[in-house]
Amino acid sequence: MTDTDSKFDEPAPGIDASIRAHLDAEASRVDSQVLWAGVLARLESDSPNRSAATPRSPRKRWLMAATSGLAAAALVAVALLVMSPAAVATPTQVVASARAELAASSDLCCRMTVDYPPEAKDVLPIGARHLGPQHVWTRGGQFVVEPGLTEKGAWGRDAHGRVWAAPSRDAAASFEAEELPRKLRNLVAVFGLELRPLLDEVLADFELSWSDRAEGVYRILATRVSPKGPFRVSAVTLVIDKQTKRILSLTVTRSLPDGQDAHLHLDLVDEKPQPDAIYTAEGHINRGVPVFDRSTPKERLLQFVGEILTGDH
Amino acid sequence: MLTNSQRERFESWVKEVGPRAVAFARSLVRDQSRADDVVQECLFRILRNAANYDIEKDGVKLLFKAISNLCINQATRDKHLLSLEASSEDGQMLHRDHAALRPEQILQHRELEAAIREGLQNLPPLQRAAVELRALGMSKDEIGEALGVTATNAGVLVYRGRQLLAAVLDPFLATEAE
Repeated sequence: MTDTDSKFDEPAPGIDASIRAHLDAEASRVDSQVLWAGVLARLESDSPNRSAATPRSPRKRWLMAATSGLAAAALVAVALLVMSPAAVATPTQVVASARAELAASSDLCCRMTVDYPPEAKDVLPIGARHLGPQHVWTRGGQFVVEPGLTEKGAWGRDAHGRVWAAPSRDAAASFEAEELPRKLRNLVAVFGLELRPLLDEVLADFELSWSDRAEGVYRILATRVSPKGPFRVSAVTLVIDKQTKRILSLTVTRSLPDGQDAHLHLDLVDEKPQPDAIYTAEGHINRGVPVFDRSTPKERLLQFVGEILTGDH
Repeated sequence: MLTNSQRERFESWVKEVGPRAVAFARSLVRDQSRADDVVQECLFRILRNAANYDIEKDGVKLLFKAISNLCINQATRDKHLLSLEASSEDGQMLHRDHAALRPEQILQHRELEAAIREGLQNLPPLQRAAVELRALGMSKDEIGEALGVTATNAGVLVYRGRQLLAAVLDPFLATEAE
């Protein structure tokens, strides 16, 4: 048996020194300032004091952004990338900058299209199967989608996690998270998209690479490293403006329970404060109209569940 | 939010260890930008949890361990050894005092650099990582911890890696010694 211990302990200055010199030469080509800027941007955006997803006046938002290390770190990262001719942004740096950019945002509006395989009829409500482009406003975990299920009215999730649907202004139904019918629960799992946590997850658990080249934008493909699972995001394609580092669009691929994929494509179209009420059923019905909930299960079932989930009238 | 002293401390540490960490990652992973992403990710994760350990004392070991975990897993998944971007590296000198070298020595060093690059490229990822970590001054225990193997296995990896490299590098090293 080879006495590897003694051979390891004997110095091999020629080989070791050559390898060390080789690594040092490679290290000399690294821009440590760019490296630090990228790490700092991520540390700052990971800070627990980042902006909460609650409405603020434009003045307060700007004040927070101006004094927040998030905006400062993003500016440092962007400035260094622009100023240093030898520095080339990596996909991670670009996504981290885009994440920092989002931290100062409040309500976001996206134009969304969803692509389901035909087999999805067994796991998703029939009212969601033939939807054209929709507009979605989001604020953290809250969202509202118009047109709603069966292409009427609106549906969404409020600040308490309740999922509601208002196919017209004359009545609405809501469900607590724990009592959601299976297909509606699946639909929320597909549609529910919190952009900031998504980018955090992309930065932590996805392999990032350049997708293809385009003038004025970065195109980045993010592929999950950890195993896929039902409704987990398995891949994200991001298009990010090179100058502003703002996300222009993204395509999110989610795995469905049967192994198929659903693709959500979102184009960010607007970003401005919205009334709290738009994320509630009450914000989409006439005054005095009831919202049927768990206290009125029969009415809820008779009037809405059948229509939304099965297409029965 | 980082305090000013945290920021200064972290910045100093990242700039001190980061470049060599990037060099190490680039030697393990085919895609240079991916290697850079890995290092940034590892630095972020370590500094995010900096309160849990002594960065200056343990940070380097943790960093190279994290990089090894991520890079070698990628290399194994890709089932290809790295292909360094040789075209951008051709002719790149090792750190030498150019003014002190004769032209034939400069040429020899370029050839040595190319031989080192090729020699490392042809090593299996674990051996490559082991010989590099050894060259960076880590002990058997530290290499074993970084690569997830026993100290004894770390010694074996270094030994075998050096044997393979010696076959490629000895002619150059013998010339340098003259």
